[in-house]
Amino acid sequence: MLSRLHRLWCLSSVVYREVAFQSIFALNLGALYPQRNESSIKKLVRSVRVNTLFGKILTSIFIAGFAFATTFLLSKQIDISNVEFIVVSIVSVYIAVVFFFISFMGLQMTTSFISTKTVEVLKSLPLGRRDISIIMLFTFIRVFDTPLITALLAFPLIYAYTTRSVTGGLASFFSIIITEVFALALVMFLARFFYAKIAVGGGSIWRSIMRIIYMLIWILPTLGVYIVMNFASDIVKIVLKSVEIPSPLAFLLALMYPFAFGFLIFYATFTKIENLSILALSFTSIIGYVALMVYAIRWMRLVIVRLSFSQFINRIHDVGEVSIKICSSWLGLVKKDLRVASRSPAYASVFTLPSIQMIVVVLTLSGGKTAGLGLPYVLGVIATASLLTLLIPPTLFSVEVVASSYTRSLPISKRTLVGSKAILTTLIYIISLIVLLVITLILDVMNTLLPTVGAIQIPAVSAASIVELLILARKPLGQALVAANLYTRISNLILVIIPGITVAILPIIATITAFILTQQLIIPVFLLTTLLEFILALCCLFSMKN
Amino acid sequence: MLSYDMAVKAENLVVAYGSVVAVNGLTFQVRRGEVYGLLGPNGAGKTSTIKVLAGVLEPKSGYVEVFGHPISDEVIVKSLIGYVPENIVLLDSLTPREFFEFIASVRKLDSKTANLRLSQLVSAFDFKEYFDTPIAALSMGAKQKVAVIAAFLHNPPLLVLDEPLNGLDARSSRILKELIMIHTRRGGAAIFSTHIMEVAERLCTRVGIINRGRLVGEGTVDELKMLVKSVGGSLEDVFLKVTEQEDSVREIIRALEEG
Repeated sequence: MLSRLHRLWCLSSVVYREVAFQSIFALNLGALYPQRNESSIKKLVRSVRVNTLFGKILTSIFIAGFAFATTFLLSKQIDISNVEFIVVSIVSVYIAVVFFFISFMGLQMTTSFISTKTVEVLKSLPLGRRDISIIMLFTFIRVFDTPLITALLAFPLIYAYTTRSVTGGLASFFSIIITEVFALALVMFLARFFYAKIAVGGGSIWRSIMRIIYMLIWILPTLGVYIVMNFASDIVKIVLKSVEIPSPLAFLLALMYPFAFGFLIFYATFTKIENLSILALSFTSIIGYVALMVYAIRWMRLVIVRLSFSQFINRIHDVGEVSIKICSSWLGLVKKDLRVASRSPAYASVFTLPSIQMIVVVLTLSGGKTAGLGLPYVLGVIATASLLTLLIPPTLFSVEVVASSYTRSLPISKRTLVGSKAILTTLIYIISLIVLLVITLILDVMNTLLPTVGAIQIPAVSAASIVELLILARKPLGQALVAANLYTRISNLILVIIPGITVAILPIIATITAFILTQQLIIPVFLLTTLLEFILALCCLFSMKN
Repeated sequence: MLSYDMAVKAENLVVAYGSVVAVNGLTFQVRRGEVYGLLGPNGAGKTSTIKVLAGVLEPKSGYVEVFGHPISDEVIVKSLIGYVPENIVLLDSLTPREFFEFIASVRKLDSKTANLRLSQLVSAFDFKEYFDTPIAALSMGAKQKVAVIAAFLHNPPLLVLDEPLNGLDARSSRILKELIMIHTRRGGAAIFSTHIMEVAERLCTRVGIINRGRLVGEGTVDELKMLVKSVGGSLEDVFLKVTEQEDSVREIIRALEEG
């Protein structure tokens, strides 16, 4: 039995490597690989391995680092009077960090795992259905292995050592197990959600808008990581404030994940029980969470079994009328890029980054900081949004490499190619501004400076994206920088992004200079610089040879 | 444009992948109204030649023109070509509808004409039921149909087809062959590679046999038969003779029989 499992575990490493490759080079089968020699393909595969390993190690370091920081913080608080809620809040925040970090790390690869067709290859081998399911389960575990083990060991051990409590360590071990199962289930749910709601073709404009909203839901763990990282101290403060005077919130917290586990770890560590009703509530809720964990495990098992029989693919869709809507060539390219990119997990996450950043900014603002918001802060926010937007042109260029063995036969001029991608990049930036505007209106934290500065920055973002795309479209650099190695060779990516960032940041630097010298000229200087850059970029675009 | 009689003119074409030379000084011509078949063993350089014509691969050296335009005039040349690649890797996340919309938009086709032609082609290849299914979920044959329909959609004067019958059922193969014949009768030209000798014999006006990147025989099927003095034999016999594989194949068959 053990040797069989060992054999299946070894086989799963092959499937895992393939899934890792596909998650980075999703659908890049059409790229011009035959033009590469064997050593460059080997280098490509090796860099994928290094990248995925690097991601896992980085997540593990974060998780272990947070475990150290959390226990260090706790060791300083143990002797004070309100220790119960300090322990509960700090430990709960750590559990949330583990939950979101694991989900965030594995989201893209799990989404690729759900759609993988490597199972078809397994089916052709002399393996039973049960063996295939076990291989797929092992592959899923391999996506998360190092961070899962790190989370499981780091905090319980450090916590038990710091508090000198074995029961506390065991309780935290138990809590982390449940957290990991929840994180894996969330990732799997979101991966399936991606293919059910986002990666479906066709539909009206309304369905396209819904797809954008679904994409934001899909990228929920990213938002969770941002929130936990940015609001960790705020969460602790809110918890402490709410329990200073016994309030219903304290009882609610005892029921809520992850606070219920915070209470469990506390009561397992410190035997003094001051509030029996909270203890009872937290125990009751933990029984519920254990039941949920069992359900989540069963559900994941079912998903993996179905995946092993390829039940998520090869669906035949309802057919509409055989007619097509033809638009201009640049709009055709924009629509194609948007469709292809929004249906690939790796690309979709890059697309949503500017909007996510804006949501995080607004959530920070809703913490009551609106009044003191000055121009330097606003320029900082817009600069960050611009930088995140400038990751999109290389991503769009990668989309162009998808099926390039076919699409390169189409009569598309470089000018149209660069122009269409610059338009789409600018549109994504504008969408992030709209997201900013809508959320500030909903949360009633409207600040007119942010959208104004953001709107003036539009020509600069557009110019910067044109600059990046012109670099990518140039020969022989463009050929050398095909997507297949763009994201695996950071030096290549830097070659493209640095000039873009320079163009995007230049108006902001000019505006800060004007802010220091003479404040009346801030807006004219900003506007003039962005417009000038845009005009220059357009001149470069129209002067390029096809 | 179509008044130009020479559809394809390739002179001393060289294609290399690093140190490996796939096509070595290939020279050939295809005229309007011709179906030019490229034949050769695996790795002979057929697909590389086809890819150069389609504009997806850059030659190392040599000169190629399509209807009088050098292939460096990329946009013009590509607008004159309908291409079916050997390995069908399309935009898998799109549905055929979305894919055809993209192709028709990029090719700047008139909506009414394109829709009329599309419905004819979809009906001819019995493809309607797959029209809104993601390409990734289609079978190999259905994907091949997508590529074939896309190649014919803009009614191009030159068809560049790399093993176009791959994965197609008998009905669809027959329809594609008829479409190629109709296309050349109307003054178009077609160049295609195939391993199926019977198809080449039946369909091609002229055949060029490539071996190790070089043209080792060219002419009509009858001319080639004359060339190897084996009139009455099939094109397969001619193919094995000019690619110097006849003796080795005979030996292998003998060894298999003895084994």
